[in-house]
Order: sequence, then C-alpha cells, then structure tokens
Amino acid sequence: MDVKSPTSETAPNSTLTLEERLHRLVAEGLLPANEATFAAVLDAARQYGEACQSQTAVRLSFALESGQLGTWTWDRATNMLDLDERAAEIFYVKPHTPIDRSALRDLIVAPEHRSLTADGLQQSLETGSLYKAEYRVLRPANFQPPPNANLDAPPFRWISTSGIPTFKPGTREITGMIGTIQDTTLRKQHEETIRQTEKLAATGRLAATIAHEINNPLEAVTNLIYLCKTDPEIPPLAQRLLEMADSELARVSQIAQQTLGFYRDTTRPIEIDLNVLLEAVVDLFARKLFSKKISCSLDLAPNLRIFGLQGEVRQVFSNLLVNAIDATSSGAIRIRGRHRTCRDCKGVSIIISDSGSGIPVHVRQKLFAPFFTTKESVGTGLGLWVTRGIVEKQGGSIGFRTRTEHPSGTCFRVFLPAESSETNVLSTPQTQVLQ
Amino acid sequence: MDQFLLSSPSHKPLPSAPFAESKDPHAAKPAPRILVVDDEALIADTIVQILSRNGFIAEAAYGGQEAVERARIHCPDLVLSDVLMPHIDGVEAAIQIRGLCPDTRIVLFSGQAATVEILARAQKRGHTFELLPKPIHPTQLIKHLRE
Repeated sequence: MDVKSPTSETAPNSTLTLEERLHRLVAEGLLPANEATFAAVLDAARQYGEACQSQTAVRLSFALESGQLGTWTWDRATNMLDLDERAAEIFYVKPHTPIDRSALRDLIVAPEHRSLTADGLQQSLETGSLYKAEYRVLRPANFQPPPNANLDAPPFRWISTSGIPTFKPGTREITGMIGTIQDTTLRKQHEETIRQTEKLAATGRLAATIAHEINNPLEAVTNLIYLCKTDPEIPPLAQRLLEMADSELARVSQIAQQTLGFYRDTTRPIEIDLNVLLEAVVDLFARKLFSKKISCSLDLAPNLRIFGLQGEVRQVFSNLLVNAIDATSSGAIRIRGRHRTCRDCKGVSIIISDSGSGIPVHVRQKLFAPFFTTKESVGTGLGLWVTRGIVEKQGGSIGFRTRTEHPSGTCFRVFLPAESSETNVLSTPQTQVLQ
Repeated sequence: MDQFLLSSPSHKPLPSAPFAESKDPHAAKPAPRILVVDDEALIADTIVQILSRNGFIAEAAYGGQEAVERARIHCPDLVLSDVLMPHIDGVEAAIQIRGLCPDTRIVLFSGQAATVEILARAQKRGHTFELLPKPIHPTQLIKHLRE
C-alpha cells in the first residue's frame, strides 16, 4: 500500500473514502507514515463501521418486531416481490420465494380493493412519492395454514402497507420499491365494533324519539275508538267499522313495538301458557298468512308452561313467525312445541319451520348480528338480535337448521327453561348454529 | 285540552258513593277510586271515561305535582300514572304518593324506552312499581287494574 498516495488537498473530508482520509492525516503529519500503523487504523475503523452497521440492523429488526411489521422489496424490471417471513405470512405465501406482484394481487387482494392497490402504486411510480394503501386480502382456498395458526381466524385480513421508491443511482429513474406491511385486522375489527356501537346508540335514540312521538297519540286514538264503539247509542254498522278500526290500530301498536324492538318488559315474570301465547301470535298474523296463502299449523304438546316475561316471550315468537312468513312464498309454516330437558334443565322446545329458500352460507354466521338484514329497505336488522337477547335473558337458547337445496327451508328452535331465568341462566354460550 | 268535549267532564269532584246503577259484577264491592295522571290531557280524560264506564271511580290529574296534591287531600285506591312528565315525573310523584298513602297501589304506564332507566333509579332508592306499556288497549288496562 502506498501510504504517500496523494489526495486532493482541497476536497472536504466528508467526500473522501476512509483510505483517502487516512492519507490526508498522514500528509498532515497527524499519523505516522508507517504501513503497519496505517493498516491497523484502517482495520479498526472498518470494524467500528461494521459494528455500527450491525447495531443499526439489530435496532431495525427490533423496531420491525415491535411494530409487527413485515418488509418487502419490489423490482420494477421483473415485477417480482421479495417478502420477509412476516410479510409472507400476512400475504398467505412462502417467505423468500419471489412472487410476481400482479399474480399475488390477483391471488389474494379482495376484488373491491384491486384497483385501489394498482392505482396507488401507479401514482407513486409517476410522482416518486410514498406508496400507502390499506386493503383486505382473502385467504386462498388452497392455503395450508402453518401448524401454530389460529384456526378460528377469519378467512381474510386487513393490511396496511407503505413503501418508498428506489432510484437508479444518480438518476430519477425508479427501479423498484422497499416497504413495510402490517396486519391491521384487529384495529379494523375494533373500529367496526365502535361503529356498530355508535349505530346502536343512534338507533336507540331514534327509537326513543319515535316511541315518544307515536305512542302517546296511539294511546289517545285507541281510547277514543274504544269509547265510540262501546257507546250503546252507536248504530251496529258504525260499531262494526269501529271494531275494524280498533283491530287495525292494534296492528299499528304491535308493529311499532316490534319494528322498534325496544319494548322491554319490566313487569314481573309470570307463568306463561305457551299454548295460548303461540295461538295468539299466529292469530295476530292471520291476515298476513292469508294474504300470502301460507298455511300455519300448530302441533303443541299439552300444558307447555314456562316462567318468564310475557311481553318479551311473545316478541320472540312474533319475530320468528314474521321471518318465517317473509321467507315463505307459498307453502306451509309448522310450529311444534314439546317438553324437553336441556343440560339437566327442564323446559320447552319450540320449533318454527318454514319451506322458504333456506339461508345462504355467507348469511348464516351473521344472522344474529345487529343491523344485519337481508330484507334491504324493509328490515331493521334488529329482529333476530333482539330475539336472541330476550331468549338468553330468559336463560334459554336459540339455534337454527337450514337447507338451500331442494327441499329447502329453515327451522328455528327456541329452548326456554320452565323455571325463572334468574335461577337458570346457563353459563355457556347459548346461541348455536346447528348447521 | 278545553276544546275536547267529553260527555263526563273529568274535572268534576269524585263522586262520594259508588255507582249504584252499575251493572258491573265488581260493583258489589265499593268501586275502586283511581287517580289517572298524564300531562297529555286527552289521554288522561279518555282513560277516566273508560274507567268510569267500567266500574271505577276515576279522576284525572295533569301533572306530577297535581297528583301529589290530590293524594294529600284524599288517598286513592290506585294511581295510574304516565312516567315522563315535566316538573315532577311519574316516578317522583309515585314515590311521594307512596309516602303519603302507603296502601295505594301504584301502576305506571309509559311508551318510552328510557322509562326502564328511570325505574332502575327508583329501584336504587328502594321503590319498585308495576309498569304497563303505552299504548295499552283499554280492555287489557281494565283487566290489569282489576287483578
């Protein structure tokens, strides 16, 4: 090594290589012009540099670990993505096995988000700016989960990814990207829960307002019609008309209570004769059944008695019957009631079955969720949610079986304990999807 | 609600004797005296009429304060009261009336979801009340009150 190698006397230190800087130190007389010393200093400096580099790498890996971030690099020329282990896991693919970016997008990105990711990338490539996207990826059908995978995980993930373009040295030409990726499913779920809670609270306020606005006039009109129709001087024809007005008004009251779904029975639990209650519920919907030409048969064992809140129990069977009627275009609805013992708890099992088209697979899991409806503009999405709430409050359980192939149909089974709910609340989850 | 003409004005004082001419089977016993409380005069007045036709001696009050004052003068057998009313609400009035008239049966009726929370507050103060939904059909109301 030529320790006297000349360097530009004027160049600033920061633009020089390590060796050039050592030469300058020798030239300035600050370092002895000795080859062994020169080599030793150079070696120490290199080691120090490497140590610094390795410290940065360690820090980076801890930072990635704490942020649960995966990393990826993308080569523009080949369109190949290289993923580290976490990124690969999040993307449902093998780590460090380069994969074509477009192929990966087609494989896992949810259809509704494909254009979002493509457009975001294009914009970043055009402007050289940061690429950022949040989207959903779907688990491929042939995906083999790793041995430690959570089997209850949903078949999709929300992910957040960001990247910066890499340039060809000394030019503005983008050659690829380096970025991070994060699984944001949990955060999304929390956001969704908050949104649902807010919706629920808003609906609660709305229901309270509507209840206030319509229940008072309903009460007044009901009273006025009653006074008219019970007046002994009223002609028989007018009396019949008033009877009809009275029964129509009873429907309005029933609908108000049912669609708002916020009627909470606070009277004390009493013994309820389900034989009488179920007949009354079917009677209430006789007109609807008749207009849709649906027959409804009751097959009830004698003496089906439970202890509970009558108004709420009526609401449960009204909701289930309304659903059965809505699901059936023509045919029959069967209601069967039997004495049953469930987990050493004596009670009554009521099955309401329809011959509708059955519940599609993607609907089944969400059936009892609030605001989930398949009835578009006419459904509140609260019927089954309220129903389940009431059944569980009574200490009972609700489940369903459904079949979409011929002969199709759905049956809901409600089990209600014979005794009071306070002494009989089951500790395990009460809602079962039977199929 | 002055324009609303009822055949039996609800403002008249309570009759001193039960309806002797009533055909109601319950008329054999002294007719129960009911104080109906609702800030919506139309509701209070129509219920008073309905109950009067069905063997009760009913009188209307149009607010919580008025109900408490009536009870102070004369304890009714039963108070049927709306819950959400301005100034003194039904629960507050009911608690005061219970203090004045321990033997009076108190039935609340309300069409509001918030009623449940109000009742829960009353429960914390050691008071429980019967609650009927509003609207309630007169035949059910009569049946409940006779129970």
